[in-house]
Amino acid sequence: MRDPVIETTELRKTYVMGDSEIHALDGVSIQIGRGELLAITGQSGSGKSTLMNILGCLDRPDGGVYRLEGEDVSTLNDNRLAEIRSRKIGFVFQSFNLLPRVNALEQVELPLLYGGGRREQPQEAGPAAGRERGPAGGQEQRVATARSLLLQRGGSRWRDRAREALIAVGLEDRMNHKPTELSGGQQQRVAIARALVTDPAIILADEPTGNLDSRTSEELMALLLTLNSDRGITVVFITHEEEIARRTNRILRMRDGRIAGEERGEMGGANKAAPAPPAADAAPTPLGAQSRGAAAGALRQAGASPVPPAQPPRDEAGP
Amino acid sequence: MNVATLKVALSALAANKLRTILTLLGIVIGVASVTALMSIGRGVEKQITGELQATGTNVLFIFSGRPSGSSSEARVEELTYEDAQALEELTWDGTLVGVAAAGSELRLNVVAQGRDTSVSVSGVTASYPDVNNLTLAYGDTLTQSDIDSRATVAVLGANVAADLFPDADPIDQTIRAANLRLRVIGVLEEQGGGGFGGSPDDIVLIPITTAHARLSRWLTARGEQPVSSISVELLDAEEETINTGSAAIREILRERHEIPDEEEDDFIIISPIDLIAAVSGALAVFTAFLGAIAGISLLVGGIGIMNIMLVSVTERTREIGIRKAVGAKRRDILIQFLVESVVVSLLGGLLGILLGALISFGIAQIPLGGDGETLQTAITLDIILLAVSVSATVGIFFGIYPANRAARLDPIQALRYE
Repeated sequence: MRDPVIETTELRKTYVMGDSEIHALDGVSIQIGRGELLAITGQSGSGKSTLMNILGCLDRPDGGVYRLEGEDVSTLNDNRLAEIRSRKIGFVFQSFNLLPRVNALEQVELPLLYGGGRREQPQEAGPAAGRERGPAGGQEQRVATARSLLLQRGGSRWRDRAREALIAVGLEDRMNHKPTELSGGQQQRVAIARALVTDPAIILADEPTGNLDSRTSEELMALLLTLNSDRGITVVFITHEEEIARRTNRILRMRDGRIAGEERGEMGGANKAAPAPPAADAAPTPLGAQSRGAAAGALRQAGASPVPPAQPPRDEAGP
Repeated sequence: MNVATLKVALSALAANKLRTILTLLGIVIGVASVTALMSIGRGVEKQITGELQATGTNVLFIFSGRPSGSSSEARVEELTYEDAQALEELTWDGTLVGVAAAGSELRLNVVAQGRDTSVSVSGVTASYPDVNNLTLAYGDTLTQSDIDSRATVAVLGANVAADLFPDADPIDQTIRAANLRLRVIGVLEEQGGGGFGGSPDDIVLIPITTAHARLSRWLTARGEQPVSSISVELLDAEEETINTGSAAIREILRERHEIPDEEEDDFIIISPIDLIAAVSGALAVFTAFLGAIAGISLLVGGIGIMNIMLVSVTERTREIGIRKAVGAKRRDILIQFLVESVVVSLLGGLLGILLGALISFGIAQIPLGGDGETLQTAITLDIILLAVSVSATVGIFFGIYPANRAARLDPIQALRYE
């Protein structure tokens, strides 16, 4: 595989429960390419959660090697792992996991504050963000840039990035709402914005639609698929729902801590063409500088409902 | 630590207002009691040193004897009236204003017009009242000619006059002390308080020569008339004046007492400045003691902070998990919780200082005796600095354990926490 984002060899993880040892991971070797759309499935107890924790740098394997963007992260200490999480990993959880009492904009800003904003700041600043706005936006941008120069910090630039991420998930009119003022689907959109704001190497989605009704689930799936095809973001679903798994381009089935099988998903054919080949797409792309047309095409091809990602969901207007 | 961290801490505190206020209250009460009690201590300190200063900081007291801890075995010469007379010659050098000697005080029963009272009768020199800041209420004071002629006259302290002559003019009345009949020539103003050696309102002053001739005829080995103390009034209380004065006095007394060079002084010179320093040193210990007692309540307040922070860490386990999942390091979490507890304790400290100042102001308004005297209190800068720094320390000390516990949480388990 060319340019693997994730490469693991013989990952092992063993838990001791009383007298017995449980091999949660028993030699897992996988490769995930950049821009890939992948599902890891398996029944509860199959080890998929343990694998996600390790892939997400929340945990370390007991044995084996895990390379993330070429860097061996299997033996890093807690602080280094936290750094990796802030810059390279985005999580989307089943239970949303938003902070209470904090508005959407600040939720999304959080990973940037914790260090995820440090990567590639110099070139990020003005042009890309300014281009999308009108003349008034340019004025605002200049003020913001001046202020951030004054502060010698990325404060306002981070705010801009958070704003862009929320626009990308269609929540431009919900930025100052707190979780209690948002519907489940909207909360999960905030979580997705939070995951993608640092421009991570990979987004790990752990049963992302598990707590949502089927219609909202469909919209969120569409959003995640679009982010993958549009921005070339690597998305890995961890799920036990066959329906979700089938909509990716590759499915890894886990059983008893091993990869028991690998299949192509329904998106397999369509997606082979979309994210992989063009070199421009393979590199992490700054937010907001994308061609929307190709993505819409890919979606239509896959038979998904063509919900433009930048548009607010019509049925979720009220809290 | 930055503005964002502070904002997070404040919003977390605002989310649990009642709990925050109750925690705050513990610190407020602790700091307020430290502030109030220490302000009382400081006030008493000021009051007492102020009284000492009123007796005149430019007066040196000379006693016979050696400083405690002296190992000298040589004989101690008594101070004598003749020593005092020799010191009077020094008044010519411009730094010495007056010399006063007091003979040994005698506790005597004094009788007049069928009333009697127990007083201390002191034989003194003419300048004694002046040097010791005793002012005459009415009548005459002792004169040099009274001293020279061994006149049988007396000046009464205010209480003595009131006891013996409750409704008559004491001037020219006769009082009897032991076998001595004395004519009252003057009465001193009420001095209040107690200098040292009992209240000056309970004394009867008679010429030192009379006391020696009629009450105690005892002479020293040198054949001189002993006195219990000599006070020397200097021109001012400047350190230089006091040092030159003491040096001159020392030289004369050593010469008169024939003390060899290698031998220690057989007299002690005390300047009121030393005395004030000693007393305020003791009072500072007293103030610190009061502060320490109040500090116990501050300690309890600190434990309150720790308790609440531990509850808060448990409650917010999931939040900590989320923060860690998106990249918060241990240090980030540690600082977040530490800032929270320090904000509580500092805020409590500031409110406590205000409350303590109010309490101490209130205490200063309560009359103590019937005479409208009140307990003075003083809030000084050092009390405020102490209260602020102690409360900040309490916040850090009692916050560090819960914060550390939060920082060490495993993100996976924290995320799973319900």
